[in-house]
Amino acid sequence: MREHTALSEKIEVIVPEEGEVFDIELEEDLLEANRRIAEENKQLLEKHGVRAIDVMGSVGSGKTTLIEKLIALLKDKHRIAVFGGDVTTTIDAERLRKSGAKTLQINTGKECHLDANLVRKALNKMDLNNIDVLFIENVGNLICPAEFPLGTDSRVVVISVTEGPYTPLKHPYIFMEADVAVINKIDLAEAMGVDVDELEAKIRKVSPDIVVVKTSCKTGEGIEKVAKALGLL
Amino acid sequence: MHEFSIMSQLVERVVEEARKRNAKRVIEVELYVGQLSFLNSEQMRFAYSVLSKGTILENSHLIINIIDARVKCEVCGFDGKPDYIDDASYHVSAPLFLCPVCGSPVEVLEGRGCIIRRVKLEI
Repeated sequence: MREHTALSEKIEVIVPEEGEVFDIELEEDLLEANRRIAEENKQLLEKHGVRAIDVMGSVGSGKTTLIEKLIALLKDKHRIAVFGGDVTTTIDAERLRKSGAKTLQINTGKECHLDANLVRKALNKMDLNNIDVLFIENVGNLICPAEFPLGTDSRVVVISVTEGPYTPLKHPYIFMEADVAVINKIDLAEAMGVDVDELEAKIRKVSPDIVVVKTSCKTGEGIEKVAKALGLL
Repeated sequence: MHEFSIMSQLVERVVEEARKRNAKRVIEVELYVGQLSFLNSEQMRFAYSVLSKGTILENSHLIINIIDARVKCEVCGFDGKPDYIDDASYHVSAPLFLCPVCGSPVEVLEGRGCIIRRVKLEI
């Protein structure tokens, strides 16, 4: 039979010595924090029955105009709100407010993209019970927004023929992340010497499942198709 | 483009960990960066050196490991590296998210995160 340890006997405790070096495993994904908040946003939006759409795209591709046209088309059918994301200024938000939708501006200050946390702050300022559809206009940028989901149901990327024929190949990731790609300003395709079908083929090459819609926000061509692709019509 | 904000998150997180453990200084931070993330190592290093100044991370060493992309095809079962669009006019070759074997759309399994793998602290 083993003897019990005498109570007087001290238990040895290991403590780090002065200047000792420790390797601490963290295994933490820095992008995960945003994804987690995005998931919370998604649940909040679902709870209130709000369909949210992240509108991404290049500077000057026509994101604001597309949202204006979609609001004009859908405002009798849905209660619509818009978050306008920009680095500074409220130019877009002012424009969008005139279209009759509830509008909130999110200025990122320095950042090149919206993130889930900024969107959460904006969501807390809105009465979500009075909204059916929320458009979130992202900062004009084809790189960073792709990596920061906001918690929306769908993501749209808007490009235009005036950016030339290479956009999808130069920025494949954003197309990979998006559900719908809009090729805008097709009324200018001929003048630009851009083959719209070829541009569509390039988009499909980098993102095989994506829905591609060709539009001219100026003439109104294709706007209904965008609404249908987003399940809003 | 968002290297700076990612690195400021990293510095904050490591400072917190070092404080929790009463560390005297941070010696090393090891990062795993997915090849498909949009983070540029050069810019990350620059942001790290700027942001770590005046903190417990100052003069520490940043190790960046790039994790290869891995994709899986649900149709034919392919599991491995994606094909790349090879065009000399682009500086960076873009991954193709189509199965290299059968051409179906693939799912990305690895290569998207930015993970703090471990930190080396002097206690």
